[in-house]
Amino acid sequence: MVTLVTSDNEKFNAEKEVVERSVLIKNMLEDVGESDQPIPLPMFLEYCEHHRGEPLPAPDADTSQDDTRKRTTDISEWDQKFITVDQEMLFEIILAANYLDIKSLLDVGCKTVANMIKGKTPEEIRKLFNIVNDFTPRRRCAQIKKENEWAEDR
Amino acid sequence: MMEIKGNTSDSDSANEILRTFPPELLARIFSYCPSGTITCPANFTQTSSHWRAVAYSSPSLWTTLTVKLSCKVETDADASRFELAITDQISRSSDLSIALSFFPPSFRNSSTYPSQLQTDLYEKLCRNIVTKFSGKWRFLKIPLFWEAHDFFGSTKELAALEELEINTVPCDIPGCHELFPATPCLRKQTFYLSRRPSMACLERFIPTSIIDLNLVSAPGVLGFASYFIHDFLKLDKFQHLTRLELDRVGWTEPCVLPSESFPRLVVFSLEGSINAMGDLLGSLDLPLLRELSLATSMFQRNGEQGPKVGPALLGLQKMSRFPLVSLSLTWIHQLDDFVQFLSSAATLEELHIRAEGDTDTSRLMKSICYDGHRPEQQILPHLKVFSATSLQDSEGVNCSHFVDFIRSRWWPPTSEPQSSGVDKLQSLDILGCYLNNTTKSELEICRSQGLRC
Repeated sequence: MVTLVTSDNEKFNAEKEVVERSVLIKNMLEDVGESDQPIPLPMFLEYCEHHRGEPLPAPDADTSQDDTRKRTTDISEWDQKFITVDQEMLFEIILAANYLDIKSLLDVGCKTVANMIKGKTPEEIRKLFNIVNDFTPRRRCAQIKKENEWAEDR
Repeated sequence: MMEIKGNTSDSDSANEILRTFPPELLARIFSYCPSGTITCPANFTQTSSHWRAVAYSSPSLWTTLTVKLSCKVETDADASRFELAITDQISRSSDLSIALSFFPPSFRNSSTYPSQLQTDLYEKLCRNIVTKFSGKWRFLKIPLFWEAHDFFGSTKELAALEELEINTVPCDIPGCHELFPATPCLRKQTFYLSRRPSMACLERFIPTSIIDLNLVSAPGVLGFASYFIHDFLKLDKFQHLTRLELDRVGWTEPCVLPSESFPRLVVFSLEGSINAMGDLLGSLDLPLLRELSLATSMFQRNGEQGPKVGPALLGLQKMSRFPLVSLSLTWIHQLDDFVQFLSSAATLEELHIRAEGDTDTSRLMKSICYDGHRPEQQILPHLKVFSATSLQDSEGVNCSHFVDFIRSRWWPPTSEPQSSGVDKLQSLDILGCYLNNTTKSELEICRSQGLRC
């Protein structure tokens, strides 16, 4: 068993096999070796517990061009329910999954945001994520003209 | 699609977090979004300057380039600007290779079809792009509307090319077969052979290292004629081929083809007339075949009736002794033809049947029912996946052949199998079939008991 401690000092016990879905934790455990020392990390136990035993992505999955070619935005039913949270939590999960190096969770988070972006106009995306349109009117005009020169009439 | 909404203050704090995303994380999100085309730029590049900068500086986002030729290209100056826009996008991929697909423009009606001038401009433009960046392409899809036969004349090598989809036409340029570039990485080819193809071109074009080959005949004709397939089989190019698709082979008179072995072929897909399929299957040796897909072309002629494909398949199996795992039969109107083959295909785990109107469903389902007590009915003992499309179930209390089939091969987790020696069905797909009420009720029960269906 491994003890995880959240930033507000709450402790969780979890099996090594479960928490090792995080490459970061796996590396830390290997560095620390057998120890009773708790590891101060936020919890992703529910996600890791559910996906216990599933094969981990290959270490070079991110850099392989083959991998980027085959990406789809399908998300399993369980993962969809897990990631149905408000935007703030969604972004926190993505950041944490990135930090903890849990590739499968990171992909679920990124796919969820991508699905929100899909099919929307730039203005709708800005509204959804509260992003400021920082293109200057002059630059915007030039860019729109250049980028849409070949756009088809719809 | 999932929607995530929050109030303004939530959005503010969410936006604060989003702004802290490192570029590689944003790029990862963008990689799941449609990458856009020259004629329809990706929405994420137009959202903010930060997103645009991240997208433009992430080469992996620009490794798939879809160029739909614009009908606005009407002059040399237009073509130059369009080429510049494509070049811009190519440069964003840095040193990564690119999958490039050209598509013809959309024209609203026949009166606005491309003029000869436009067609010439498109051809020149595509030729310029492909030759200028000849080392970049890992995949090339060349459009159908122009004759690409001598397309590569000015290119010596397509060093990164792994996959090529191309239209080929009759060759009338003397000596042009020496002009094809070297393609050291080419493994997969698809040829759209719109008219009578030149075997000399194919021979020059197909490398001996090819592992995946698709030949697609033009629609609206019988398909590849027997003389073409005869010559094709004599090409000495198939030693490494693991997948072959022949789309529409068609002849109506029996024909003797040369015997040919495909020693590593694992997947074979064949669509054609009954005579063509029978003749072709009868001439091959496929010792490693695992997946076979057969589809009858949608035309019939006198003389094509009678068992032909099934016996040829049976002969092929006896000679090759292949470990067939998956069989798909599409529009095979004489399924009886296959029953003897199925009886001896003990390794088969997947069977997919797409029927047409006159298929005798009752007879078919009865013949693939499993009965451990009767040797002649111990058919397909390892069948795990079955799909049926467009089968017509019969009405009446005695018409339970679907149910008998399912019950012979599937049982609830708490029960024992009716027969010994049969694997349990793991997946059942019934698409577009007319089912009687008894079958529907039984399927519901099985589904509630855990059958994936």
